[in-house]
Amino acid sequence: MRSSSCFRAALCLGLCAAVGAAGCSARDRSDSAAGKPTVAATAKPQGETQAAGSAAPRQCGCNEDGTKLPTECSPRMPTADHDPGCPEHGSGPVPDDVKERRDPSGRTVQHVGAEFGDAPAMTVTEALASAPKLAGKPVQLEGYVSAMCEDRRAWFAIVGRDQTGDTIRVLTAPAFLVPPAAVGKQVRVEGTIDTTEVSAEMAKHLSEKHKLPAPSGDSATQTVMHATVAEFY
Amino acid sequence: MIKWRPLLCHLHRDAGFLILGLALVYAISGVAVNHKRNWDPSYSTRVDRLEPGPPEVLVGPGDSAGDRSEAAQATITAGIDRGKLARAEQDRLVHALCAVLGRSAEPRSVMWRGPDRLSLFFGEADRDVVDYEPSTGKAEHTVKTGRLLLRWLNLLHYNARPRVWTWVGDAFAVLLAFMAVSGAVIVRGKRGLWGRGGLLALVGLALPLLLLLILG
Repeated sequence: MRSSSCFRAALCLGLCAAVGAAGCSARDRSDSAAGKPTVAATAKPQGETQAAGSAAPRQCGCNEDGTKLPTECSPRMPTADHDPGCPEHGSGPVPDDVKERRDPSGRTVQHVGAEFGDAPAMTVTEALASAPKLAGKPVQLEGYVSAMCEDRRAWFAIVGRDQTGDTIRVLTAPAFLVPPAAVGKQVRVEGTIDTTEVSAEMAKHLSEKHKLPAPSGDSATQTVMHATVAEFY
Repeated sequence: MIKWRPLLCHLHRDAGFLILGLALVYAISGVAVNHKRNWDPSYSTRVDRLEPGPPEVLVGPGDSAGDRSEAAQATITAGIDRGKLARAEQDRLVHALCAVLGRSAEPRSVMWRGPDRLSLFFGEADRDVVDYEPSTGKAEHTVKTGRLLLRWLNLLHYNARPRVWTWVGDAFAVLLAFMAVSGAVIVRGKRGLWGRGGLLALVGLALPLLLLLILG
């Protein structure tokens, strides 16, 4: 009888400890939301590599309405490559609306994101060659979708129409999600050119899984585009 | 007065039968998706290595591309070497490549994914792709085939199909929570919540909490 009481007391203690731990975890979350630093919040935000004067999102990487999504494929990618999450806005849904229409030649055109502006059109090769000068400026690119993140649909790779094979990775979240099965289609996309750090693990992932040319080294940089609108056809 | 324990017992049993199929969908797909870093849970990939030959052979005498002249050969070879192959020449090369590979249909899309990597896309997305390397005359044919049953289970798990599955998934979650709670309170005595059952429940509760505390 006595041992039974002891067992119940131990169970009660255990339950209290468990509830306390959950409380701690909840407190940490609320601290983070209030702007107090946590491990995740102190990690380098993706937007930090963005050039000054960029028309893109806030410093935290969020849109004005707070929407955002990790821009890489695997949820297990290292934090530096991953969107660390915004303590102010957290994560939100990314628009997944595809407007379809027929062009004069009868092809189905999938429109995603905002409306096209009057950004200058250039080839992928030209954009890569003058990436430092173009940093933060809106441009339009045309080419083919040579690869995409099929898991999260948060980026695709655009390759030019020429024979160079020059490729730029276009990050589409938080503006829109890449329509499913977009690889092989032609694309016109508008967005801002930026440079981002790519870890060795991410470079390996891009090269092995997506067969994309990736920079080498422990922490290399890569020219990317933050897209606002695109049309796939 | 209604005896709640037998009633709960009946509900627990019936709910168990009801969610049997859904539990299997989520369990099987859950394991498959959980290991997606090591394999593609929805598609199996087969890569065949082929040797259709270099461009000058493909468009040379005996090809089915139409123009068999030596001049055409030279134009294509020079175009590839310079990295500036004209559209008509590229079409001729692609046509010859398709003929050698026994493809009756023209590719849906053709692009250079590298200076020495001409990619021919057949079918939907990248399910059927030929990557041709002009410098060596070798090619890789990659075919992705949907895994039997597993692909559909994953589609349900990811809620990728019509939104009605959102309701089914939510109902399953509620029933699963009911199963867990009712299962815990149905059993009385030493094997119940205040005995061995409670201890096991604590272990089960501690595992995710520990992970949360460790990983943040």
